[in-house]
Amino acid sequence: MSTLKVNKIRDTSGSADAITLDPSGGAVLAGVTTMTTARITTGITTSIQVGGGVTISESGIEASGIGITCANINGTKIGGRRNLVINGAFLVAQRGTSSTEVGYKTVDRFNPYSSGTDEAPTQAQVDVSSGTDPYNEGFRKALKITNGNQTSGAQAASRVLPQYKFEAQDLANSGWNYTDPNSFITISFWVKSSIAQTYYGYVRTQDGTGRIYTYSVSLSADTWTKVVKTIPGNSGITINNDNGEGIQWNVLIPFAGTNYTDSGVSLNTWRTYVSGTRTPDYTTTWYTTNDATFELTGLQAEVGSQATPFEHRSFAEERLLCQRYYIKYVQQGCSGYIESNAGTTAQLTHTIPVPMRANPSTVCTTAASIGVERGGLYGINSTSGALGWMYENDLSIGWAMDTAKTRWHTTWCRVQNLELDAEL
Amino acid sequence: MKITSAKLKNSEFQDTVIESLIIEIDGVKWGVPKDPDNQMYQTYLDWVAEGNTPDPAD
Repeated sequence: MSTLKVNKIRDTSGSADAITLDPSGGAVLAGVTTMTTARITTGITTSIQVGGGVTISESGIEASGIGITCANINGTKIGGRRNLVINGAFLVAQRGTSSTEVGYKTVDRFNPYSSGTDEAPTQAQVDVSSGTDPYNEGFRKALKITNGNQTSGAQAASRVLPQYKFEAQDLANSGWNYTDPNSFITISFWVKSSIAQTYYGYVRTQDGTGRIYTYSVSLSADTWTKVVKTIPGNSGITINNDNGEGIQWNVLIPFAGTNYTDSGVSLNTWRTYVSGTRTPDYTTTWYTTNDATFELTGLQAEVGSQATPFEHRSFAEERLLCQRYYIKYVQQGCSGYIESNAGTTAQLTHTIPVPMRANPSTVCTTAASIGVERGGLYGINSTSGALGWMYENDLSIGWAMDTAKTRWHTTWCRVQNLELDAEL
Repeated sequence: MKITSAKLKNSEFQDTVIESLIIEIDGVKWGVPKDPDNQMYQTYLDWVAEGNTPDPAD
C-alpha cells in the first residue's frame, strides 16, 4: 500500500477545493457531501455538532432552538396522556386503607382478589419507604398484600391475585391496533415480595373469544424490581368500544392453585383463554408462608413498544378518574321531596363530580343521617337506596325515612357515608 | 363478592326509570339497579342462575 501525500483535493473542473487535509490526520470537507452510508466506528469521543443547536453525543441528543421534529416516539403519540391505568400509583383509596375482605376494599380501581384461602390476605395502601428506587422515582404509595395463615397448605382452588380491569372503550380508543402483531402495548410496574421465587402475571381479553397472554417474573426477596413487558397485538383479540370490561390485568400473582395452572402453558404469546391454563404451575412458597408480603406500585400500560417513565398525575386528577367507578361521600347535603301520602321514602337528588360508568349501586352505611323538614328532624333509616335515575352529574335515590311525611313535602338532608359503586 | 340475600323492590316514584333490587353482599345491603352494566347486578344474575330466588317485594 502506498500513501498519496497532498494538501488539498479539487475536482478537475471545480473552482474550489473539496477536501482540505491537515497535518494531524484530519480533513475538512467543503460544499455538499453525499454518501450512501456513514458508518462511524471509533474516533468520536465527544460529540457531533450540527450548527449551534444540535449536539449528538454518547449520552443522547441535545437540541436547542426549534428542537426536534418527528412523527412519533416509540411508534405512538408524543404528548398527552400515556398511562391507561387509573390510580397506578395507588394515591386514591376512597374505601379505606386496610381490609381483610376480598375485592375492591382499599385502593381505587384495584381488585385484590383471593379465594380458597384458610385466612384471607390483608390488602392495604401503604407508604413506600424513602430511599428505595420507587421512592426516588416519585412513588409514595403502594398496594401491599399480606398473606394469611393458610393452615391447609396450597389447595387446588387457592389463589391470590391483584387485578386491574380496563374499561373496553379506553383500550379501543387508545391507538393500540390490538389485532396487529406489529402494534404493541407495554406494561410496567414496580414489585417487591418477601419471598424469592418465580411469579406469573397475565392479561386476559373479555370480549369475543377470550385471549390470554402470560408472562413470568423472577424476584429476589425484599427487593423492589422494575418489570417491563411488551405485548404485541393479535388477530384473535376483540375489544368492544363500550363501557364494559375490556382487558383484565392480573399484574403479578402471588399464588394460583392447580385449578388455574398447567405445566404446559406457553409464556409470552397469545393463547385462547382456558380457566385451567392461566399460568404455569406455581411454587407454593409464598402461599404457605404466613404473613408473606407482596407490594406493587407504579402500574403503567402504554401504547408502543417501549416503557417510558411513569406518568405521574395529581391526586385531584386521579381521584376524579376513579370517581367514574366509585364515589364515597362522608357527608353530602342534598335536597328532595316526599312523593306519596304518608310516605316513608325521601327522593333525594345527589350531585356527583363526574358521570359514572354505569348506573351505580347505592348504600348509606350510617343510619343516623338527618333530614330537615319544616324544622323537624327525622332519620334515614335504610342503608340501601333505590336509584331512580341518573343523568350526567345528577342522580336521584329513594331513601327510607323513620317517620312518615305528607306528600310533596320538600326536604333537605345531610347524608353520611354515601357510597355509589359502578366498578367493573 | 358473596350474595347472602336479595329482595325485589317496587317502583315508588313517578319519575323512576330504573328498577332496583336490595341485595346483601358481604354483609352490606346495597340498592342495586337492574342494569346489565352494573357489576353487582351481574353477580345477582349469576346467583339466580345458580338456583337462588330473591324475596318478593313488600
